[in-house]
Amino acid sequence: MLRNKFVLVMMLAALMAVMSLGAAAQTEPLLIWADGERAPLLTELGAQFEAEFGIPVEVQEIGLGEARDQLLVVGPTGEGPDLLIVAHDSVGVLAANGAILPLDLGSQAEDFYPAALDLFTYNGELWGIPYATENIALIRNVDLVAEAPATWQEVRTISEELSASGAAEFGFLVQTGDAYHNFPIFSAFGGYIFGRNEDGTFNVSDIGYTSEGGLAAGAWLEGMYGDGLMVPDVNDDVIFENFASGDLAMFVTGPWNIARIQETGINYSIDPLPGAEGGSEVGAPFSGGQGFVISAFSDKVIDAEAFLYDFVSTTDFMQAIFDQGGRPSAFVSVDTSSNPNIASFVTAGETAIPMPAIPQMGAVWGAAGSALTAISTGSESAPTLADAVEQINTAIGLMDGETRLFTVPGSFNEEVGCPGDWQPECPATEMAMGEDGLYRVTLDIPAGSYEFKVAVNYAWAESYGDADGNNLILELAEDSSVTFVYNDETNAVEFTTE
Amino acid sequence: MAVANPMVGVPNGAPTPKRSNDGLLATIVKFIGLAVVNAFGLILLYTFLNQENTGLAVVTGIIVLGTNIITFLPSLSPLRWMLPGLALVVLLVLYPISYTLQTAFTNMGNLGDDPHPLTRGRTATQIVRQGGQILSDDAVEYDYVGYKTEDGRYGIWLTREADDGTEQTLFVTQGTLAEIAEAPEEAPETYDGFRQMTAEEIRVERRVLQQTPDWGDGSISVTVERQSATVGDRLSRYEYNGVDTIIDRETGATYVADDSSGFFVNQNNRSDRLTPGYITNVGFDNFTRLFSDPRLRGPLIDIFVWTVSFSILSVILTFTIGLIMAMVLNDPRLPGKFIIRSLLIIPYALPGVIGIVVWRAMLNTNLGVVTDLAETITGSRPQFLLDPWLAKISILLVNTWLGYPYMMLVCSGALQAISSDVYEAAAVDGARPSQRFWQITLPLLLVSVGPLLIASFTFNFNNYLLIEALTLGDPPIPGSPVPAGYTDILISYTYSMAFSNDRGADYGYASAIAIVIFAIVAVVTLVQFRFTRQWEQVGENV
Repeated sequence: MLRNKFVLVMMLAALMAVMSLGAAAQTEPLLIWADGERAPLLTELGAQFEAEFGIPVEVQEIGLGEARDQLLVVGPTGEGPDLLIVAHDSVGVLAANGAILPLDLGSQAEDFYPAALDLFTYNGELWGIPYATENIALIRNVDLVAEAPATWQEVRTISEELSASGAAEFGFLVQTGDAYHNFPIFSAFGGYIFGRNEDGTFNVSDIGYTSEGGLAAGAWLEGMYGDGLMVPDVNDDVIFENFASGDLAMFVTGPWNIARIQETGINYSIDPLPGAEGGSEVGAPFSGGQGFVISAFSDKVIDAEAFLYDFVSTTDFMQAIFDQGGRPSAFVSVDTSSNPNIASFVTAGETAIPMPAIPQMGAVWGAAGSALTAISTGSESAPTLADAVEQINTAIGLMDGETRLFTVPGSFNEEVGCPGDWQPECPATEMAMGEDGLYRVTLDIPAGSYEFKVAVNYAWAESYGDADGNNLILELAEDSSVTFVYNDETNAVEFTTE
Repeated sequence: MAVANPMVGVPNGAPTPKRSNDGLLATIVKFIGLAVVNAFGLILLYTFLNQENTGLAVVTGIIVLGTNIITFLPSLSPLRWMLPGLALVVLLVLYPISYTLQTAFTNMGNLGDDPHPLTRGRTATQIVRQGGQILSDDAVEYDYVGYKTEDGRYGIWLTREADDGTEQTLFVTQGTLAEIAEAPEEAPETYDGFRQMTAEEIRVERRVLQQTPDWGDGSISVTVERQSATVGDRLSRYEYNGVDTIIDRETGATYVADDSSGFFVNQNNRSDRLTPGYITNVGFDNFTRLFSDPRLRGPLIDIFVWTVSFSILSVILTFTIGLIMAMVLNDPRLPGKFIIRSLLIIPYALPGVIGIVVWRAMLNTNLGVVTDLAETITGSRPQFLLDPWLAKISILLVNTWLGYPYMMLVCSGALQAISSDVYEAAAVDGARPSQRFWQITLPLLLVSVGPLLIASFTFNFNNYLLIEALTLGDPPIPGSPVPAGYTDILISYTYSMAFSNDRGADYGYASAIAIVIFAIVAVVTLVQFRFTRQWEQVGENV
């Protein structure tokens, strides 16, 4: 009786389940994740795409940063988007995680500014189609400061004059503790974040906050704060409040704030960033960008590519998104004359440096930001910046991307369970890092006379022996437990026997 | 005191539940309901299994099975009323805990420089997808021009320069493949009833050419890509054997899954590995890493001390002010009680984030109203959020403002529950008001409010939102080996350890941290329950 009832219920359930699953299996539209600003426009343009190409488009609104993390969660379930809008600095993480597909613009690449494509290039491949770029510039109250200052030293002189004459409280203010908005000051004095290797890649062990230029910029900031020409705890609200009331003559911001600048009613000008005496002629801001990427989880890659190459990468689409977005376009043929402010930002961005899209940047923002906050409240700049560099180094040291593995190939390898002797690829002899930063492995080796070296990353390409690079010799009178110690800073190999 | 009546909620004379005589309609409704639940469960089960999400599939299975067992076994039928609750406990409490525990022992994460986002099989799929396609040995690539007929059939005109320098030209449609011996220099306007597609037609219909399945006469496969067309086979660059090996067809290298590092590793060159890596068990690595992390040796002790003092002071301050307000409001002589009480509850009714952000603006050094006020009084502008001590005090003040209405509500209720007999007896004995408060009100109150104070402590111990929205942990501690602030509490500090902004997230490590923090909070809470028991004894003695 009970069993019959159960069977009946389960049959009913199975029937309902199958029916609703069948109803769900319809053709799905091309799904796009876009941020709140872009989503309404894309919905509109998506209808146009459907009319032209016959592919329905659905747009879901999701924040730029969230899209990056959510893609990896939702993607594998098959519910994720086919296309999404991301900021350029997400591209490295997404590509490394197998979440997006490489693209090939072919001859269409000529339609884009090369600098914009560079932003979306990672490990030598293009991963996104940029539509907008952005960088900050110097905003100036023309009535207070008639001519744009050429150097930060001039900015200081202007600040002193304005506050002495009482014409304005502040000549210049910068967002406190914000490494992005402070960067042009550092770059003007010759500072940088990461140095470059000869092949153009970033050298993460060369951090430019304590370079000569970096320290000069720090000293300039320290002087401005120390003499009361700048104040701490400044954010965009403080800046616009003071700018609107005429208490502030100059500040830095990006194209996203154009409307806000206009609302102040101040007679303004958007200028390239000042250089510095003893540094460069113009300050370089960071450039960033936004663009479309294709999800590697998509099952409609060809349709998604058609959307990107044949619809997005056209003047009509790029013009529409420019007219709405108010950011410099990545597309050469877009007519920007309708918005002269944008042209000014583009001019200021001519010297811009692409924001390093390497994971190590994550270590920089927090540490540099803390240092800038500390300088704003009166800490000495040189030791504070040195602390920041130390913090960045610690954080980068904790990242395990550049893992170096060490093994002990030698004539005893077979005795410790390797398939043969002299095998750098044998995991049985892999060393582990101790708290003191030295690498160790302890092996039980029978009595005998042996030779060995230490090899890096399971290969002979890089290996260490004695000071001259020869094999080391191990003489064991009896079966012993041998601890091999390797120091990766001095490349010295030692061993102790028990 | 106040022992709850065990029979509360069961009215006298309520009919005892009947099972077999429910009536036909009720039985049908019951079974249809159960069938709906089962159908829903089956769909979820199907979806989760499809997504290889074994964890959630098991949880769904348990819930569905439990529902059926409870419905069909008469002896368990009283549990029916607990069913939704039990299901939610399994889904929202037990499952997340076990998932966190499980994750803490893996390397799961999406760090840009050490990515292990997915399981091995799914990772291999992504590697294969990202790798794209390569030509097989005998395949050749052609440039192509699209053609179509008026009735919508497509053709492609293929040209290439062969290795010996001669031009090769083919015309391919669905079903035919013809080599053209004497081809004109340029692709002709029309050919064999087809006309060349315009640039605009190509733009819109290229994807149709790409998706057309049966190009050619079937003797050799022909595929159209965006930039070129291929005659001959295209293969995916990486081939996954479904178990543990990926072969790179371009270089011939073999990559074998290495569960100790969570990567597919080239057997001939161990430093060559495919990214992304996959999720693998790393044992206690995350925990050993946590305890050997130099960031823990840095400012951790300061941060821990501040976390504990912040939590305790928050509880004391909110409770004291809440209690005072409650006692004032409890006084029958107070007029306009309703309005005062409503106004006092506002900080509690307001969404916390909004309150905190408004406070941050009010405490701003340059624009803040509070700063302006302080300037009028003292003559200087205090840096409320940038001075180490002032920032801590500001945090406590804001948290008190946010938290006292809750304590006030709780205390109002508890005060009214204290029997007036006790006070009358005290009055007879000639107790002063202060004696009445310290020896009657407070001890009796603590008995009922004590557990809530502990809950409040636990909440504040992990009050990430307040710190993040008010100070971000600032001002920074100078000379600290890692970025840390004077107002960072354990949770805000460790959050940045696991999720430093642009690097992606390290879920395995974050889970390990969560478990350690959970352990700390659990120990602290257990100790406090000891104290509550003492209060209860006080309560019984009154």
